[in-house]
Amino acid sequence: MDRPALEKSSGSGRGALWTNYLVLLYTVAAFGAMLGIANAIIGHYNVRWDLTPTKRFSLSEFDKRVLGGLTHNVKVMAFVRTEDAAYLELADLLFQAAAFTPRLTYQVIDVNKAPGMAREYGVTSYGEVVVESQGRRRDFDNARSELLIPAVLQISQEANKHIYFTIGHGERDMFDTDRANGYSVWRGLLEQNNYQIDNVSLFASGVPDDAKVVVSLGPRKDFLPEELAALVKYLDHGGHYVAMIDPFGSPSLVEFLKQYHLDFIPQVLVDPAYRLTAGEILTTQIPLRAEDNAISRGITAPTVFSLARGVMITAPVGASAPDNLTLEQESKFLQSSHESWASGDPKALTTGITEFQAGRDVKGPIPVGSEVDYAPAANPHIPLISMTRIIGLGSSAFASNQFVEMLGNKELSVSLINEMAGDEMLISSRERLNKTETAAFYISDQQARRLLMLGTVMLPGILFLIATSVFVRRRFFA
Amino acid sequence: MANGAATLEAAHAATDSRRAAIRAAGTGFSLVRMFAVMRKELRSYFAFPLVYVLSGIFLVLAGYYAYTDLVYFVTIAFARDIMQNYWQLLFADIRLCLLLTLPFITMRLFAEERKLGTVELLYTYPLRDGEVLGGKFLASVAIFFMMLALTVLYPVFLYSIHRFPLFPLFAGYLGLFLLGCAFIACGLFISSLCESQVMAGVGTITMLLFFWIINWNEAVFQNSWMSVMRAFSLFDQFGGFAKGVIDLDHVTYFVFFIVFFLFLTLRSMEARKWTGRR
Repeated sequence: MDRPALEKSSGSGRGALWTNYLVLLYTVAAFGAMLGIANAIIGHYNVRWDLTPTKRFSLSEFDKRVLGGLTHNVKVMAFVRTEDAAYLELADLLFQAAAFTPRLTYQVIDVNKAPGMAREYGVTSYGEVVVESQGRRRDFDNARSELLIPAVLQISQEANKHIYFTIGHGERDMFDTDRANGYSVWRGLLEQNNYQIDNVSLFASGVPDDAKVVVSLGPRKDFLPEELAALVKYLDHGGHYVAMIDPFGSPSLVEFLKQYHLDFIPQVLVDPAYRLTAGEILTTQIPLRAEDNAISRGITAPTVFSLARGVMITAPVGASAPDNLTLEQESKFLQSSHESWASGDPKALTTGITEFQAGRDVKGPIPVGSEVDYAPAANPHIPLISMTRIIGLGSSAFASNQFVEMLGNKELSVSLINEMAGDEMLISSRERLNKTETAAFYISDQQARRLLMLGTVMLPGILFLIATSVFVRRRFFA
Repeated sequence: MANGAATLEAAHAATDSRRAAIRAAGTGFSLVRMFAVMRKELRSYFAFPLVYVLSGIFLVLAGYYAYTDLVYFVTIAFARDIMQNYWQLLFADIRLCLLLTLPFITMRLFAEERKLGTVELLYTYPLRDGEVLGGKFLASVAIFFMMLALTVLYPVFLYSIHRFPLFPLFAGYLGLFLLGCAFIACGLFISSLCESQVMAGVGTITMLLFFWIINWNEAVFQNSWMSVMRAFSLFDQFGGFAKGVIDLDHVTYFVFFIVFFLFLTLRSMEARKWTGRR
């Protein structure tokens, strides 16, 4: 590494010295530029080893399927504050997605530096992400990377899927923003999943042909026979129906669903062992979830139900239902704990106090989420998505603005619509992200203190002892 | 002027005799000679209390952060996602500890030899500049590796209590190792420029701080410039490793950073010869 050329010319005084400096400057600049260019080239064709157990920071198979299937160009604009570290994960995912498919382009825009552009796109908050394709656009907030690929999927699909909510029986309102009784948060979540939410009157128009799912959200009054007939017609043609019926809600609908072997029992669920901390016994976690059901499998935490009733499945597989339907599958996908019971105590609902009483009450576990799937008796081997599917949930409150953010409620409220609308891919995407949340790691105070002692006293202490002995040896014995 | 010319002549004479000695040995760059320098450096490191004291201070700081981050993880972060809420935080804190201690390891490499006058002796040995540089660099890396290896006791201790994924930790430690090597390369260069150890230490910290805050100017620069500055930020490049991800371009960035600063050190050593300084 010696440089004879430089040294030979250095003997001729100040001029040669300056020449040496210039050559030095040139070689340093050239070498630096060469390394910079090499790094830029490697960065362009980057290779990544994601050592996280679930490959959290790499494109998943689902992501690749969505991005690989793009038939139109998609443009993503992330309006962020670049000094926020939170957006880096999104920027990383955008980089990977754009590297995977030329159909996706993106721009990270600092709202503070480009307020005009933010105004043009109607962006008012930091972290808003706009996804555009074919003149359509979807927005999502908080620059959350896990929402990006579902948004790309939604924007690349031809049309929104209609989810209809029945009205006219005192149902809860999806457009109500009330903190306790409204359901606007759930509606927002469903719209993020590219569903179009509409109300439908079964009496006036029956179930529209484009309905992917029909939901009855906490009906209180009876359904008219004409409305039930419209429902039967819909179910006969492979319809997908979700009934969320609170205690004492809509007796005629409860009777109707018994034909399909779903029995909404009148007793209210009580579970002192799983009630929320310092909460009433009628608001409880639902700890038991079926792993073979896509809806409950994707949920990471127990759901929270308040004032729930049991939803029993009253017949085995093979049982008949109206219009020559045969029960092909059944699943009690959400059940209360073994310590719970369904209380027939009429005072339980008002006082929130009751004790188990044999004969009157039903011992747990009590199903609060059940699914029955029917196929025509003449043609039982049809795919699940073509079957008549009914989900019964013993409460509507879990999806309300008050409860939807609690524990696993958000997952449940979105996953059940995903599953009924045939969008299992969306569930699996969230499932993959949820798996990154490893089991809680609890450590006692004593164990933490042991780590403190090891790290700050024992190890450094040994080194300081050695340092002292070296010092003493050098000072007094050298 | 005449004095300067005489110094230059003397320097060239020494260089020529050294080169003649290397030619007599009949080899080019020799790993054996480089490792001999490394052994000599390590001996001098371990013969003084400084390295033990610095390692001890590093471990006090790292151990304290290991504890406080753990308390944060189990209380504030509800003990969820150990990678994101514990290891990432701890790696970021250890990074800071390295910034505060490694410059004091590297400050002595050339500056002390210059102060003690042993650098003249070193330059008259039949050694190439690359061998001297490689030996000093590897000796510092060995010391740093020892310091870092002692922190592995934290995950070992926690793993004995509760199982967690280990592979992402490998990425984090690789990132810390590369980052530390980059600090050492930078420190070597600054030490090669300075006459005093204190100046070398302070200069190294200043230089490393520059590479830390190079992208803390979002309000001034546009996004295109920001992406360039981010590409030069030592600390932004480390973020991926802390998450448990190894990006080839981050690895090459650190390797190129190290190579570039070693190259600068080599040029600095050489420039001292033709300017007549040691």
